[in-house]
Amino acid sequence: MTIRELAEKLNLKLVAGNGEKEVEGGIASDLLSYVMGKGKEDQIWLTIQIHENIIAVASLLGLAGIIIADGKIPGEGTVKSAEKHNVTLCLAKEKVFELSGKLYEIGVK
Amino acid sequence: MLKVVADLHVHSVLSPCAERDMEPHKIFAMARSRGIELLAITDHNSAENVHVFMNLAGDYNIKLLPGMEVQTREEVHLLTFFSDVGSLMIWQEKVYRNMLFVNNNLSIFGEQYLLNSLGNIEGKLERLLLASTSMGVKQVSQEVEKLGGICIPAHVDRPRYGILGQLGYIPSNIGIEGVEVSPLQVWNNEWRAKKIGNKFGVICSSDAHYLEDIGRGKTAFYINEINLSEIKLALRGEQGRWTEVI
Repeated sequence: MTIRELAEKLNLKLVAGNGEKEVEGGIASDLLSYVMGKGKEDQIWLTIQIHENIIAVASLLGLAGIIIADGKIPGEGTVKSAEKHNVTLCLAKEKVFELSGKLYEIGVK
Repeated sequence: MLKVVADLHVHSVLSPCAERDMEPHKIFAMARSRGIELLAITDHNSAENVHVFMNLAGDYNIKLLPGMEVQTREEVHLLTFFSDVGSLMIWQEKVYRNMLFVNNNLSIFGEQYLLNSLGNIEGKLERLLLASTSMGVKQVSQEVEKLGGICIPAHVDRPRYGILGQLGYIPSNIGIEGVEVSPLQVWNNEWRAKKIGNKFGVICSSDAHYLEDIGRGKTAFYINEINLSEIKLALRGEQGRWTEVI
């Protein structure tokens, strides 16, 4: 499914990007270096990091997009960067652990 | 007793986040104009340009302390300093061996320039330096100590990449000689007492990635000679040596 479809199913807020990429699995981490090392193209990335550098990592790896969890709000710079690099950014109220579980339940494995 | 004004955290053109002007002659000229007598080039996870800076420092009457800024597995930045370039190069090899080789992506991270003996740009480093080593904080401090070097957690007051931000506290079982605070820290004794106590010596440096920032953070070392042993004593506040954030 695409991120847009995923966002609709889980009631996430889409704040940047078009959400058109198909999601192939996911990765959950707040260490950017970990994601850079282990992340794969088209994965959805769950994190509570809100700074601009997450966009660079998502762009570098060709991730499907980023879901910022735990009700955290990204800064203006992060959203602008996401638009510029065409990285889909979603917001979730749930904590990463719960969000992970929900994604798994709807088939993102 | 000498009073030596130092900036021990400056990046060269090797660090991809540093501007293109961070070359020896420009860095030294700027440092000199700001009263810096002791400088350290501490690039991310590499020291490929340090020997060039070492050779040219004398022309500006500046002393160079061989060093590197390492990013640990926990994404903590540690400044590592050595008494000679040889030990630093051994350390560099260790860091490279413990770091995943990822190719640099210029459009995202920037250039990583190597310098020739004249201090001019001649070559690029392929492996991306903005990464974590697989070594944790404790291992880095142990390995550095084995090589006769010292370890100082960088910008501990900053939320990201500072040891307090990344770990939440400073572990008691790691061998560190002192901590570095950034010039942005609204310096107050209350914060210091609460977060650092009197356990560690404190230095302040610029973490300059741009010429303009060199010497923005400075430390005065009250020592008898400019070498690593004296700096160690000053950080510990032993034998009449001491440090002062200025």
